[in-house]
Amino acid sequence: MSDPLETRLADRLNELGETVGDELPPPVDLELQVLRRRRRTSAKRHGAILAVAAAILAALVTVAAVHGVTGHRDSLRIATSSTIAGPDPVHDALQPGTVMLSARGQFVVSLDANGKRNATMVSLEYGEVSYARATADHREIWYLSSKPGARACGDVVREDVDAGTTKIVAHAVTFDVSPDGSRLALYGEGDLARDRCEPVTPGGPGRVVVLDLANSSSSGLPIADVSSVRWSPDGAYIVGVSCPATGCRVFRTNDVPRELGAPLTVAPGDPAASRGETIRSATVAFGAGGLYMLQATAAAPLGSRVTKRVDLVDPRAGHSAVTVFSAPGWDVSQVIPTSAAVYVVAAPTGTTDTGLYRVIPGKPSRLAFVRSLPGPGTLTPVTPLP
Amino acid sequence: MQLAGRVGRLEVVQTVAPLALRSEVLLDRLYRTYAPAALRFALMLTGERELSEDLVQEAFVRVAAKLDSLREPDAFGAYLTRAVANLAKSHFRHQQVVARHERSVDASTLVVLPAEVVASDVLLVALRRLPMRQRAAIVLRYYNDASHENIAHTLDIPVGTVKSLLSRGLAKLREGVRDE
Repeated sequence: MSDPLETRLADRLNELGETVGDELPPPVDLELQVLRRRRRTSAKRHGAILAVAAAILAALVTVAAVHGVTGHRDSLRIATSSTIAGPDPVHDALQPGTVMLSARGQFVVSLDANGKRNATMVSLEYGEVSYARATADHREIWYLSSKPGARACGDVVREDVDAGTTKIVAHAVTFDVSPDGSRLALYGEGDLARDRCEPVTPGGPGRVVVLDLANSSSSGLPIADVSSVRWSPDGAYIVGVSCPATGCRVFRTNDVPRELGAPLTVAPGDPAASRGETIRSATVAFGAGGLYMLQATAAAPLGSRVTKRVDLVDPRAGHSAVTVFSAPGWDVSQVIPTSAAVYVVAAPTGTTDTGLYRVIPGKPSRLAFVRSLPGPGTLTPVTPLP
Repeated sequence: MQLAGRVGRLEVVQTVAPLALRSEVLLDRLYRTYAPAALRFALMLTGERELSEDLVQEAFVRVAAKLDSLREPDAFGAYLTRAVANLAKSHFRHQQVVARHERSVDASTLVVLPAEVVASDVLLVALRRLPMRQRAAIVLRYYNDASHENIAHTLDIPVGTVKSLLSRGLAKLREGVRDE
């Protein structure tokens, strides 16, 4: 210890230490204090054990109530086994409170119910992200990345959120991933199933291809001018928007077969309610209660005043639509039906004051301001973990 | 330097404690054996005699209550030292929280000056300004002559962390002394 500071420090500490004698009588109630402490620790331990036991019992009863009720209505049967394992902890790879993803520029960020960013999920060095979607288990984010301004095929990328690893899985003009992450719906021209994507020219032929990621089998549907495709929440079918020059239409495929190979077919009918209007543009998103369709409609002929409207439909039943929002004076560009609320990205007509608004249930002509979003990107809802 | 006399002091603190200490006599003996060294340690961390006595008593009660379940009952001294360091850390953290809520306490008053030692000793004042873990590591090293491994065992931290704590602590002390 040649350092003068260390020597001095040792000396000072030694001086201070010498102020304490070697005899220190214990407090008179030392044994009692130790005894009390021991009892308190023991009580805490027993309390914790009881709490864990109660939690396991409650979980078992809940599981039994949901799945285990069979036979007589009055009897509750609990499946038993030789070992009782606690329920698997549900791990959410996304930030708590995430209700939507925003794909914008080089980033995919997660947003909470107030439209505030709570995490950056994807950051690209090159290219721009035009669409992003989380799988139902929140473990993967799939996104479409392409060169700025390019109308060609983009990279369909899968990111493992926990590991932070990414992989380009396919190429497409637009795409969607099934909620369980096992299948892709790709749109483009060329042999999409063999990763040979060609850009689609307006009016030219195009194909929606469903690709099974487990065995690379595929099924296709020839259809032109598709602007977006969306998997249904149960992964059974696909809804898309096709916008030829004559006006847009929303199509739904029949159920995608378990074994791919045969061509896909379009179900009869158009989920978009026809009111004698021409749909100038449309976007669709699944949410609670069905399919939310944002349509820009105009009474025929083209050139009439355009009205933006958000309808909720059951694409399978083909019921007439329930209008969720429709009001003049608003330029609505996106609808995001989340578990927290149905949001729209909108701006008062004639302004650029784009903001995130909440649709007020039962009041289809009113919006509640959430926050301004000068560059919202493409927002997609995130389904909460079950 | 009187280091030779202090060599092995920590080892004395860590001498084997009798197991199954349940009687008053044994608790008394245990206290008389280990509490003085723990009090010195607490005093060097806090600078306050009364506070140090309270901390040592509370730490002793906590460790003695768990004596039967300690992984190494013969390291009673090390457990006691660790408990003192943890309690001191909690105490000052609590003080900071209280001060933050009261908003009337000047931050400088959170540095408690030693009562028994000349308050103007810049080195001890600088020591009191270090984070608690750095303080504890430095006291164990320069008062108890404890090896890095012993400090790591006592504070239940990796040896690398001990080296880092000592290095950073000394650097801050140097800085503190120079500024004064």
